[in-house]
Order: sequence, then C-alpha cells, then structure tokens
Amino acid sequence: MAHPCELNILCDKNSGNNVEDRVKMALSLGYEVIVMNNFIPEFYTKKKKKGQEKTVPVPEASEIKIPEHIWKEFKKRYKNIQQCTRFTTVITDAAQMHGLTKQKELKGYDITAVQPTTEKLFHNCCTSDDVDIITFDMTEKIPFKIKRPSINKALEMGIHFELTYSPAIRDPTLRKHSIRNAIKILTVCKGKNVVLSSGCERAVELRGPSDVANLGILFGLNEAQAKEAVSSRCRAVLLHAEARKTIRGTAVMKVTPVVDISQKLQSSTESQKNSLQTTSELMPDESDKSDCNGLKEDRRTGNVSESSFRKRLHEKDTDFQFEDTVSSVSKKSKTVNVVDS
Amino acid sequence: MVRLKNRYYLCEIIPTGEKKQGTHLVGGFTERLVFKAVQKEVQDLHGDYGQGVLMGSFSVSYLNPDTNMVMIRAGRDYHRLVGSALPLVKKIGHQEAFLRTIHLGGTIRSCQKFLIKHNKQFVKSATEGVDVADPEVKEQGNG
Repeated sequence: MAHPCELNILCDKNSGNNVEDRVKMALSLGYEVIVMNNFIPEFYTKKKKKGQEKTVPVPEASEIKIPEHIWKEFKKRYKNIQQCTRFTTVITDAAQMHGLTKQKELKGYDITAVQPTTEKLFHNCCTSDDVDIITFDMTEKIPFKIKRPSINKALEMGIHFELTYSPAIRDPTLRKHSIRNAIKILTVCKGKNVVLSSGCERAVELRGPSDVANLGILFGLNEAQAKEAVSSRCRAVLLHAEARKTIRGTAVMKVTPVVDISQKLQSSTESQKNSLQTTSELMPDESDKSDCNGLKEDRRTGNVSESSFRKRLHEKDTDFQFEDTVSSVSKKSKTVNVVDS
Repeated sequence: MVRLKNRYYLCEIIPTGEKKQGTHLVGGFTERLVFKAVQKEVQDLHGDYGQGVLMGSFSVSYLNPDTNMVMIRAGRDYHRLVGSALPLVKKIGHQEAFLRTIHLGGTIRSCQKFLIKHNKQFVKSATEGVDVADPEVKEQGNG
C-alpha cells in the first residue's frame, strides 16, 4: 500500500485544540498526505423576497493549516509528507451549488466536498464540475435513494464517494448505522471510486492504513478495493481537484506527427487533389463555417480540434506553415466561443 | 495429512491514556489481556458464529513488552473476522490503547523477519543525526 492518505481531519473551531495531536498521530501511523477539513454546514443562503445573498464568512485556507514552524518539525521527522485543505458543506438547496463557485475564499481550498440531503440534489452534485468528493453522514440513515444513473455520471466525472470510519469505532449503535449506510452505497457503485477516511474528533479514533483497509472489508469492499480506497483513490481525488482548478478555460491541441501528414497527402487520390484546388478558391466566409462545425463536433466527442486541424491541412497547399494554422485555429475557436455565449 | 494453515497479524500496541505527572506510560500488557480484548471485539462484531469458527486457531502467540509488539494467530479461512475486529479495540485491560497492524504473514518466521527489518529501520530513523559509536547498537533488533 503505497502512499496512504488521510482525507478528513476536522479542524473547525468547535472541535477543540487537539488538531495538532491528531495530525501527529496520523503521521506516526504512516500517512503521507494529511488533509485538513473545514466543515461548515451552512455557508450560503438566498433570501426569497429581496433576492439578496447572505454568506457566512469562511476562514481562509491558510488559517486552518498547521502553522509553518510546527510543520517544519514534523517534516524533519517524517519524510515525503504533505498537507492539503478541504472544504465541506451540507447542500440543502440548489442555490448553494451556485454559491460554491461564487465565494472567493473557497478558491484557496484544495478539495471541495459536499453532503447532499435529497435525491435531486444528490444528482446535481454528481453532475457538477465543482465537486471532488460526495460525503454522507454516517451516523444517521441516508434520507434518500441512491440511483444508478447519477452514480454513473459521478464515475464519469471522476467524483469520489467518501465513507468515514470513526463513528464505527466510537460507538456500537453508530457502527450499525455506518455499516448499513456503507453497504447501501457500495451496492450501487460496486466499490468503484470509494474513499475511506476518518473524520475523527479525537486522536484515539484514528487507525493505521492497513487497519482502515480491514474496516473497508467489513463495509463490503473486496481486498484490492479496500487497499485502493486508502491509497490510490485518495491520490485520484487530489489529482481531480488539481485538474478541476487548472483545466477551465483552456483548449488542448493534439498535434499529429508530421510524417503521418505527409503520408496522408501522398496517399490522397487525384479527386481529392481537385477538391483541394476548389477549396482553396473558396470564399473565406464559407471556410469559417466549416471550421465552426468541425470545432463543435470536437467539443462533443472530446477529441479536441484534431479533425478540424486535419481538415485545414487538406484545404491548404503542401507548403503550409504549421504555426500559421495553429494560430488561425485558436482564433477561430475564440470566435466560436463568442458565438456560443 | 493436510497442513492447518494460519495467518499471523503483527501489531503494535499504541497506548493512548493520559500521561501521569512525571512518569511515563505504564506498559504491563500481557498476552492474556490482549487476547481477551480482541476476543471481546470479535464477540461484539461477529457474535457466536465468529467465536465458534475461530475457537481452534485464535490465540496470541507472541508479545514483546519492551517494544509493545504483538502477534495474533487466526485460522487462514476466517482470519478476516479477526482482522476486522482489530481496529475496533479501544481498551486493553484497564488501559486505553489501540492496535496498529503492520504486517500480515503466513508463518511465524516471515513475521519475525519483517519485525527485525522494521525494528532496524526504527533504530535507524531514531538515531539519525546522532553519532552512534558502538556499531552493535545499530544492528540491534528485538526480533
């Protein structure tokens, strides 16, 4: 089990001053990535009459991190350790999903986690771009049905489901609830994209990575999935969070090797050559239109602008300039964006 | 004859009780206490079935009171029942403590090898930066 991660160390101000104790315990148990979790149940409400928005002040991400001088001491003792931040909220209204993107303070947090309360909101969360983790209250019965279509969407988006294990350690009745909830989730998602984390309130409730994997087996995961849920799935969450922040508003160009293109041009028949001549004589407006269509197609398939790129190559003569085409394509994509919006 | 196969959980006992003034934590864990603590959790979690199935093989076969290392044996077919009960242990005897699994082995010998390696690494990390004159100290591993 390489690189185990602990995705949920609660550190809101109500939870007391033992955050350092818990982090220390987690590091001594062998975790390499520690995620400080700021849990704020309600942070965004919308008044119905006036349409005014009311927000609860959310502390900056740097405030909940372990202070530098203490972290340096930890770093001397344990190698390859890393700390991240996470924001968790309860979603009771569709407007709150909107609030996730609006609030400035939230941009400082690495991971965003949500806890939906109804079936519809759960579906919203599964299809949202702004969510990394969907979490559940393991101390109570989950108040809605979990349906396969929404789960499929979530798997497609790379959103993970979190099971917290510390209630199971705390108390026998809570243990029954958490086993029941875990089985309910796992029967639908079949053990894919599941993350195990503590959500502990005291240092005593933390357990080592292999023990957590054992608990995962108790929850109904199989052996390989249980080990993944502590290590590689957690890494996937961190990567997803990073990708979510960086990928918005950028276009990815996939460039095919030059050798392939020349071969293609050689293999093209005479009829295509004729068409090349005709297309080069086309009016600029029409070529624009064809490009727009190509780009739109690309968006749907996700195969970004490769086909339109090739199209353009065919339109031009053999002595084309590579950079020229790239820049013109990017210009076109800009114009398309304007038209869309 | 078919060999009866076992699995051995190698665990470290981590005491979590409050420190008393001036004195460091009292150890005093015995094999019997650890066995009783784990057995209670198996009873709570898996009930009479779990108890009955494990009756022949379940035991604590090694405990080092100096390093707080403990080895728990269970039959191979049902060792998961013990494994899932281990994280739920909160108290051993009268002292608050929990178990941290570090290895799951098929034989006592493989666990011993792992333990020696583990202890060597621990000594190495603990004495890092400290000049150890006696080379034997570095080789010390309480296997």
